Amino acid sequence: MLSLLSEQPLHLGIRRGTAKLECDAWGVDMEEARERFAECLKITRLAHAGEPFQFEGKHFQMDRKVPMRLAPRADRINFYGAIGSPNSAEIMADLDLPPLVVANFPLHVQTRVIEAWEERTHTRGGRLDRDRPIMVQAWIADTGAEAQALVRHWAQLFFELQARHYQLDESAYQDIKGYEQFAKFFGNLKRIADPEQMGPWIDLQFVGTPATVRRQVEAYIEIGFNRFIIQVATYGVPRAVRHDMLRRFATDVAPKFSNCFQRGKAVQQTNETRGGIAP
Amino acid sequence: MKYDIFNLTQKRDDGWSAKRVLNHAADQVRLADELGFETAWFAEHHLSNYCLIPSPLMACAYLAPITKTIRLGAAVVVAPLYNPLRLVQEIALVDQLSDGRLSLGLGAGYQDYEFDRFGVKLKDGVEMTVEMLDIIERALTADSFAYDGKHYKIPQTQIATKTVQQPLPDIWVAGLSGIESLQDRMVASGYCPMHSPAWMPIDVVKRPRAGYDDRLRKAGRDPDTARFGVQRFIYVTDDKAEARKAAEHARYSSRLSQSLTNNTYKFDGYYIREEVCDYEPPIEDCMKNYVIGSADHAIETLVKDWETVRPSNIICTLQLGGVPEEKVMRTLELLGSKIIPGVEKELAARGAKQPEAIVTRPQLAQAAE
Repeated sequence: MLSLLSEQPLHLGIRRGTAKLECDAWGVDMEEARERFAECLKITRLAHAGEPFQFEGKHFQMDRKVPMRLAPRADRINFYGAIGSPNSAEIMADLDLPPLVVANFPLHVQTRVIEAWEERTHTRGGRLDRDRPIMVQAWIADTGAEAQALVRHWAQLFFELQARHYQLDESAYQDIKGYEQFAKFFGNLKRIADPEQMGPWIDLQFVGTPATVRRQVEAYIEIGFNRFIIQVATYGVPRAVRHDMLRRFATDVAPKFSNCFQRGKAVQQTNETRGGIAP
Repeated sequence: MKYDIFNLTQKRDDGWSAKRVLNHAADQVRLADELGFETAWFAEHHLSNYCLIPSPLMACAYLAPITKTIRLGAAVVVAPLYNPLRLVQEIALVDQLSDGRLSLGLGAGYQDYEFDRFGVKLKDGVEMTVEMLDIIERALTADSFAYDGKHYKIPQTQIATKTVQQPLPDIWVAGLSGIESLQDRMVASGYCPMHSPAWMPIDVVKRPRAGYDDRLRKAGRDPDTARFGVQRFIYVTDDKAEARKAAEHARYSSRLSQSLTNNTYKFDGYYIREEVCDYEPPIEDCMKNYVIGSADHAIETLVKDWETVRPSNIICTLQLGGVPEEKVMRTLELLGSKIIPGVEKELAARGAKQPEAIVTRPQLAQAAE
């Protein structure tokens, strides 16, 4: 239904779920999340193929034939698998899902993520020419110091909120099979929320003058990312600031990498919420 | 009375693409918005051509930014087919996106065909719907809630997004007039019942209306102003052959619905085969029972509806079984320009009271906390 209503390419990032409180509220055992994720994806693909289908899985059984009446525009639907480590990159490659990454990990880890995804995809004969999006925060100003002040102020609110959200689960992850690494990650959220300790994370975002940010974009392109999801709408950031950051990215950074962002069109396109660029 | 528009989004044959059906529904809603209709309702059904919308809340979200004042309603959310936490959050999201214009219809479902494929037992549907109503009320009115019901168990949980409409959005319930405890609760809480005579005479709604009136009086509410929705198929024409054709279009929909109700359905692909129903009225009676005829006939019929069951809302269904789009839009325009003003003039002469405002006052069930 969404693919029919949107009349545009539909981009859907999917993941197994990381918040324990959400899984608990749904009554889902997190140790089953990976298997459930894979089965859901199989069902979705069967359905989008357009023919009546049945499914017999460990977690989901559809023993009655299910016809699809909406004839979804499968050619316009793009799924991405959310990836946080080289290990999960291989899992998503096995599922034939392009990677969707958040710029929270050091560049050498991001590099290993892309390498792992490419290697596994190549081995199984999959397509490498896929969109590979990464979500990055953008804080652009006339001077580096000004941009640093912006990110430290607004990102602090964001991470404090995240730390509160995940604090409920911080200790619980250690004993959940398949989620052991999340204990460390969520523990780090509290540390990153301190502006004094935010530096390594800031280095991974688009922060600085337009010239600096253009170089940062190039670094991610070098790793293998080719679609950027610009994140400015985080907790507490006023609308005017969000719009200003998007506008600056669209006018001062993006035109170097994409014809979609030619000067003069940029503001209009920003208003149409075009966030991605494809070099 | 208030006037609503109902979108079943039925796909009669391959001459209609899914996109065409959805665009047509959106066109009707845009025009109804301009004409001052109160609510645009969207049905929910699955896995057949009977109705193409699997998620009426998604339809409401789609229409929210391209409409101005019309309320947007789900008629109805088939409650047992949802995870309660997802449903609660999507209700709040759509009410926020529409700036408080959501009307939430709830129903227990009636199609084994759908329930079987969702892995839910139809016989549990009513109990599940009542529990779902418990959860909606608690989740949207409390800072934190838990639920321990027969069908749903939820640990202590917080819902971050609440509705614009406080304490709850406008809530309607379809059918279930035989469920005593639910009916009393609806009266106490200000939830609105909705009924449809479909291809039968309007008189079939008299009985649930009478039962509702008794409850209203016991609760100290005025039956003459309490909200009560009645769905009507309407087609305006002066041409007899066209009128018969319109009745056949509407009958097609009822035949499909009955075959799904009675589990006698047969499929060609995802199309349900149209087959005669044992107890269907003759087409001539259908023509009388639906609101089909001239604009003056429509005025007379809707006034008679008011005299018979005093609906607060006429839920106008204009598109069933592939009525040509231009005919639907013509009827809609005539409703706005001539029929509704004509009905209102007649009702004013009869001293009809205006329906009460939308006010919900949830009476939280004591159990399952």
